[in-house]
Amino acid sequence: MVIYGAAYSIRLLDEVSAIVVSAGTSTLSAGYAGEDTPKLVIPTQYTHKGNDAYFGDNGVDVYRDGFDVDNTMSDSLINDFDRFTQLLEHSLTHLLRADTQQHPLLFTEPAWNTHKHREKIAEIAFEKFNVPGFYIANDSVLSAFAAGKSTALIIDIGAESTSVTPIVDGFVLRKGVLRNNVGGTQVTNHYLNSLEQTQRDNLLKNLIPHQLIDSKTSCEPGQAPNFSLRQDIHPTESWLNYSKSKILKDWREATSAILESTWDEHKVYQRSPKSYEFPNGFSDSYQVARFKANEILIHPNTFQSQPSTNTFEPASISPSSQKSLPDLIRESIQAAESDSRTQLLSNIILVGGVSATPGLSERIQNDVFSLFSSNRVKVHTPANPVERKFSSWLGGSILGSLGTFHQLWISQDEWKEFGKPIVNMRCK
Amino acid sequence: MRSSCFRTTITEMDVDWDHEPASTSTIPRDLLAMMAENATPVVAASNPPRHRTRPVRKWRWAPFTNAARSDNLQLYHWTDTDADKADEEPYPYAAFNTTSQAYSYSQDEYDRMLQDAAWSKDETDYLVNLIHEFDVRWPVIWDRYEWRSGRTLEDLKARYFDICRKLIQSRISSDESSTGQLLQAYQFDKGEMACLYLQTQSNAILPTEREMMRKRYINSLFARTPEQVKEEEELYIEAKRIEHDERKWRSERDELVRTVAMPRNDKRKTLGGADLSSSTTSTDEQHLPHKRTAKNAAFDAQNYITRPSSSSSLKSSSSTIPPFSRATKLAQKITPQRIKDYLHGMGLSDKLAYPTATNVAKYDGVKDATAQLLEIRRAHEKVAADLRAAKGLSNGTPGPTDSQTAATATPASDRNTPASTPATPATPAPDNSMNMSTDSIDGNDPNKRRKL
Repeated sequence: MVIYGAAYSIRLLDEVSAIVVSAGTSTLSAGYAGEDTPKLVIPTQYTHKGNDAYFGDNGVDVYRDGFDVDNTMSDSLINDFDRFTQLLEHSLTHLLRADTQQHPLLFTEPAWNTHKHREKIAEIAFEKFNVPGFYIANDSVLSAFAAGKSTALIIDIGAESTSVTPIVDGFVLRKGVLRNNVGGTQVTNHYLNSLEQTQRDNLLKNLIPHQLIDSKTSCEPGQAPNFSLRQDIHPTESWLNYSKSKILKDWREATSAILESTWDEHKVYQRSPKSYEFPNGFSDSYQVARFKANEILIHPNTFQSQPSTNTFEPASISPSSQKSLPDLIRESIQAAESDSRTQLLSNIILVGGVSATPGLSERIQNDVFSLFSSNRVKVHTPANPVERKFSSWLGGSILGSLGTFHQLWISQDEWKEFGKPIVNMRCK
Repeated sequence: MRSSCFRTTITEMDVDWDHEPASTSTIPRDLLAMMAENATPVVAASNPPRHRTRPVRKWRWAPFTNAARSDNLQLYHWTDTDADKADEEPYPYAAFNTTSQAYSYSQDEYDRMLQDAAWSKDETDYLVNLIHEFDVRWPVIWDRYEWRSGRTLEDLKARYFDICRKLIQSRISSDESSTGQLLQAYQFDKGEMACLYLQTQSNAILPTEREMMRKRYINSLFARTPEQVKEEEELYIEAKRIEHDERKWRSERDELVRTVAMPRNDKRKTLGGADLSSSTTSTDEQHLPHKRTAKNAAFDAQNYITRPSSSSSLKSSSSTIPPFSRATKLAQKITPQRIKDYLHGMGLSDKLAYPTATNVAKYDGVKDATAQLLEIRRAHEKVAADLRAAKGLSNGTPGPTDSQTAATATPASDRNTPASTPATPATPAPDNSMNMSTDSIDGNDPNKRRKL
């Protein structure tokens, strides 16, 4: 049998209009294979009250009285299969408006997905959506494909975790898959902790979702904002937390950066501060903290002592006693077979939502080079931020449109004949 | 009318650049282009460009089945083949459904020849299954191999290639040479022996025995710390520098020897450095003037020319020669410094108080014996060192072996360096003056003396 491999060219494409779905901890992206960006990108969170549930952009981002927010995913795995099925239905049927019976479905999964989870997803695809074909591929492998490589070391920094996955010839080397629980959420927490007391208090005080604001007028940076709150809105706590963390995420993405070399406070003072305007009109500028925030990605253990001031985000695992990113990379490389190591080191690919942080790829390049100075180290980052964020979806889009791939789909017939075990037989 | 004609020409040119129309032959094309730049936009009204008209291919969203699949999954894709032809044409990508043709065996074959004490049948089956499953991608196979921990990739490869070789040999083949080629292709030796082999023999390893060695080298290269890498680079530069210095030193030494060699041709006849000047002058003049006198003797006699002794006229007169004892002028063998040192150590002077013919002969005998003795002692030490090294090797611990060989190598290489060449009795005489000085320095070094 053919196993999908490195070489693909435009002539190898044969589109069968497969749908590619890639779900992470915080976003779900879906679209047709062969396209270069996902057709839809929606949060995996949903609001619900009793049996009523709303998904997508019109779900969590719209204020509904008494509605709570929950996530269908946690740690890149599906948390709540019933709700996830609803989310999928919303995406495919309502947003993509696709007749799922005509489109094969390609799913992505993290390397730590369990057999049970994959079987369950396959079951949903076949039983609920009646797809003609189904396949589940590793998201790191797909990220490598998106970068045009079949052998690569994928560093995926997502919302809740950082993972390092060696890929050789299009296969995950399972012994080398390592991760820690430091991701975007932890960076945001650390960012808050790194602020000075008054600045932090100001920020937290002015952290008000735009849905709650009735009117606002412009004001000077650092000054108290002029705004008035809507009086008719009484949000639930979970909704408020979700909305606040969304603002914080945006704040972090807009302002934070990392030094290209090791942490040096003097260098930070030479950089310009960045300002950010919050939804209520309050604006402030940030300098040292915005660089310090991302240091937690590299050295999670040096910044463990502070208590979390961020009370409205889900109690995240403490970053202490986590392996640092250079450690993860080193161990992962050492777990790989000695012949593949040099190739892995020269094909490090940085993907995931947090990877767009300015300076991060240079920093990782420096850190990895100091670990393996006897080797050629090259960190590749997709230049396009969309490609970084949705690299696994993009890889899926490429894979799903390859002419040679179509023999790998698990068909409806095969599902009926072999049942659940076929998923693990076929998708290696 | 004229302008309309002009317009037509331009339009024609716009459409058909390749064939210059006859009507524009009076106006060069580039001039025309300049004119056209300022001219009012030309509208191709009269002569619109004609495109090749070809029927547009009709694309259909058509079902297809893939011959590479075992089931009849029907997917849809866009195709431009006709509906009636589509059924006959196979799916083009099915041709890519190839394998690396990994070997497999029957139960009978296994029982007959594939048994191995280190491998059970089940484990071998598991391995071959994995090889099929991952299409002989060894790093992946090794990663997924979970039968028993501790199997290295080389173990897996050795087992599989062993199976392959045995199967190739046993299976009937029509072509003898292709079998040989196949066997060659599946030659694999994980090379446990190669490590030992490399340590005993200098550099010849069989190509098939390299695998383990190669892995060891890769790993040790990979495990270098930044300090080691830096040190290695520095050492490399240092080695280059030393090599360069050595070359320079050699060339300078050769130069020196060349300039010094001539006058010292028969210095061995003299005893020490003291009378060097007098001896050189005498030797110089012994040759050249003699030749000249031989040639010119008849001429001189004919013309009653009396030439003064060339030695006195050209060089120093006899009055410049310091007074010397005749005993120092005695023809004596040159004695290597190490022998002198040795004799000194035994309380013997190298100058005889009464150098009568018998005494000198006896003294020479003593020196010859000493030289032989030293020679034997050195040979003995060399053999002993080799023996130690060989013992270290057979103990098998690479660490101490290396240090031992290094330790034994040092004196050996020392012996070969030019600095100590006078130690060997076969030293050419020209080197002597320089060697004596270096040797006398060496003679002060107790280590060196002990080694000798």
